[in-house]
Amino acid sequence: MLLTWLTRLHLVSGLLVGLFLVSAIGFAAGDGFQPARDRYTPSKPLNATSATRYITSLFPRPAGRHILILDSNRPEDFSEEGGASEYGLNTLEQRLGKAGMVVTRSRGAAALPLAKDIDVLLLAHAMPQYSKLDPHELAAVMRSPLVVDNCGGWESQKFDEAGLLYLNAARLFWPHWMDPEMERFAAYVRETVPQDDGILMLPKAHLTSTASRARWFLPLNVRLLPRRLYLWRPELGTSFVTTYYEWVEAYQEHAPWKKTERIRLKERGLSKMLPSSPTRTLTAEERQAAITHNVQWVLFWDHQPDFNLKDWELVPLDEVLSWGVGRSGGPR
Amino acid sequence: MTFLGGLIFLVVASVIGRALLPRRQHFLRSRWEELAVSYLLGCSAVMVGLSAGLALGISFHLLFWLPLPSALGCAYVLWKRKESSQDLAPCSFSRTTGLTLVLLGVGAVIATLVLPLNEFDPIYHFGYRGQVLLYDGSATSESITGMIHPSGYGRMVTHPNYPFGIPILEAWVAKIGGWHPRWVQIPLAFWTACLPLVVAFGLRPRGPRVATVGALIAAVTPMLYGADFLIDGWESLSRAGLAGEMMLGGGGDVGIACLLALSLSLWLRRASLGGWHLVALSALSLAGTGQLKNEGLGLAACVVLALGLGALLPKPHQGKSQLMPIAQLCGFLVLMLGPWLFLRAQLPAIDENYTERLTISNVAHFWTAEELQDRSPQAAAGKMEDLGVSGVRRNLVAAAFFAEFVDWRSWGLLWLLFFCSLPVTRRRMADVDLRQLCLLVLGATTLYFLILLVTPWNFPSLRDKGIPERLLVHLVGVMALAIGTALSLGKPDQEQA
Repeated sequence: MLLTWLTRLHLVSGLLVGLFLVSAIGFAAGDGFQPARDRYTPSKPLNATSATRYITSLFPRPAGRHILILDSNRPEDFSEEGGASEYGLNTLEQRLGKAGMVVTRSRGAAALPLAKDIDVLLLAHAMPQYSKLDPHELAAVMRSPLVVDNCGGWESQKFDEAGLLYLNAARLFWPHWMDPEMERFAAYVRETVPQDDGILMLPKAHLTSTASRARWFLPLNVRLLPRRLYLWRPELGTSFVTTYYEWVEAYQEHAPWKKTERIRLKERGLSKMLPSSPTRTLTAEERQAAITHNVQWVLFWDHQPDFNLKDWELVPLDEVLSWGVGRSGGPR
Repeated sequence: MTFLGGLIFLVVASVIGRALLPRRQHFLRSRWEELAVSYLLGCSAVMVGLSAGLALGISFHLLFWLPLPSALGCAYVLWKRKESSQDLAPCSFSRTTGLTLVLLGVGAVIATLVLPLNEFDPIYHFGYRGQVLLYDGSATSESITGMIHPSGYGRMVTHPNYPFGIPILEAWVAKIGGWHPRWVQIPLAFWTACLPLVVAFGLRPRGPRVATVGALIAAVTPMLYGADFLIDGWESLSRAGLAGEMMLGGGGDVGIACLLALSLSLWLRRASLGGWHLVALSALSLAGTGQLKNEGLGLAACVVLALGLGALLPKPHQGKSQLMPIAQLCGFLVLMLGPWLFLRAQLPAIDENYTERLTISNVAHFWTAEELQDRSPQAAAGKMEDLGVSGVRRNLVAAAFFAEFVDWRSWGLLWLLFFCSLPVTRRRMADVDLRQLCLLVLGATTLYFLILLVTPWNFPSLRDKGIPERLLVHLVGVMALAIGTALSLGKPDQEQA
């Protein structure tokens, strides 16, 4: 008797199942049967304290620098707590002012006239008029090429093409394999590297982030098959997230980049940001690994949680070897 | 073309599976039951057969062709049998129940395919291997085995000793039209739709009402589709099918639930035919679970133990000894899983190596040990202030299991129903089937508890990733079989077939 009644009650959960299926199918159809990033938890901006530290660290002497904060004039955009709230932005404005910076807030107004001669642009609210800004026009009026995205509202590629240094300060929650710039870069590598070739992946310098979404080698490894990708100690880097932390720690200790020389390229493969090239010479161990595994390419990267074209550079091995070993290498 | 490849696979697997089944006249099943059981048996046969070929060093490019002549041969056998639809048993379901199951099943298939592969496990654990098979043609190529090298540099692969069942299915479909992250999921899209029919098939001897209720119990369990739906209120609606809680599709856990339930259903029905035929099919299905995820091997061991113990316990109503069929099952299992174990031994075991980890000394240690806070992501990131719950590991794991048992959003009342179905009365205790099913669920739950007790990871961070619910979902079909069996004992006169 009890079992029969419990069974009837259990059958009610069929409604939940139906709702789940209708939602899953309906929302997917609404997004053209592709996963859409705006269905995930929204990006989380840096709070006022961290944002102040982040922005002032961009300049050796921040005093006198001009910053334009692109924020909204709609009350609903300030409703969330944290870095994008009215309180958060007021605090940021005050603290940057205390650091000697000249702060302008757009409050929904057109960005281009306000961006004239500014040193850094900060996106606080992804309003349509700001999301669709033409980076080339911005680059033409700004004094310094620095753009900070604190709400995940911009794609870095367009800024890269305009020669603007794009920095993403917001925390992103959609899965890293959905990053369009990673996809763009993977397509570029597929076009450039023959299928039978091998690629040695080497970080530019210190791994500055422990964020698990910074493991871009995972989606690239899948996207670039059947090309062979090699990583240092992959048994740590690709395992569970806490083992990945061990990999970061072990790599920091190993620090092969300390024994190498940074190489500034005169021309880059995909990115237009010449000063940000992650390229360097190889250590003897790295050269030996490249030969042992018969790789034809080296993929340098800067370990960051947001995929940014400027942080990635693919170079033929022969060219990298021509730079020399360790600190004896010369510029390209 | 990949879509077409998926459709061809559905036909190939179904034809192979149906030819493996005994004749309709000798072994009763409805049309719907036959479709589901045939497809799952065909999937198992393809996975087990091709995995054995890979273990022997035969290229996947060659093995790809094996199911096609096999299906042709099976089609010839079926043609020679001259079975008609009149030989099929009547469907156990009423029109309303049938319509409900069709709606849920079709919904599950569509919900799986509306998005391309979009979760960590399906992309990195299985999609990667599927592409390796497609391009390299080998399960032991450097893409899988080249992780650890004296140079310090190696190839990237997550959980390198994971089995090749799902990759085989995906690569087979992709072989026809190229790798397409949406359509390679076609063979995996039917797990959830098949499970209720498998339960109905297993419960058929207990009567149509019991078969119907068992199928419905399985079909409406939310966990077969996704976990923790609506946990964040109505906002969760917009994330349905997106997050890691999604169970449909390429993750393999619902596949294990299906094949495990099929193995037990065939076992329960072996008495109707006698001989070793259904025992062999039960073993094939169980070997299929071993091809889906690492847990499949542990579950196979649990099945053998549960069947053995269930048969050995006191029998008020003496029946035919089950020891011989159990011995046959073990023999078939060794034959079918042997090649995979041979192949597995050649793969690097860097993590999830629980056969080594699950020792008495480890269990004794973690029974009283504190949670490994230093292994948490927060500790590793230096955010000690953000550390989550702490305490004795045993209590944390037990609390997580209890939370799952009462989580109606994920399970409905399935666990409560199961606990109410335990063989605690003399009448139920006399039913060997119920004893074996319940022992299996309890044994597998205990196994998962022990695995999580000795895990080298931080348990709260595993909890955030859907553990243990993603393990417990393996048991949904078997629980539905157990509940149905217990229900059949309540009103024997009306329900016995």
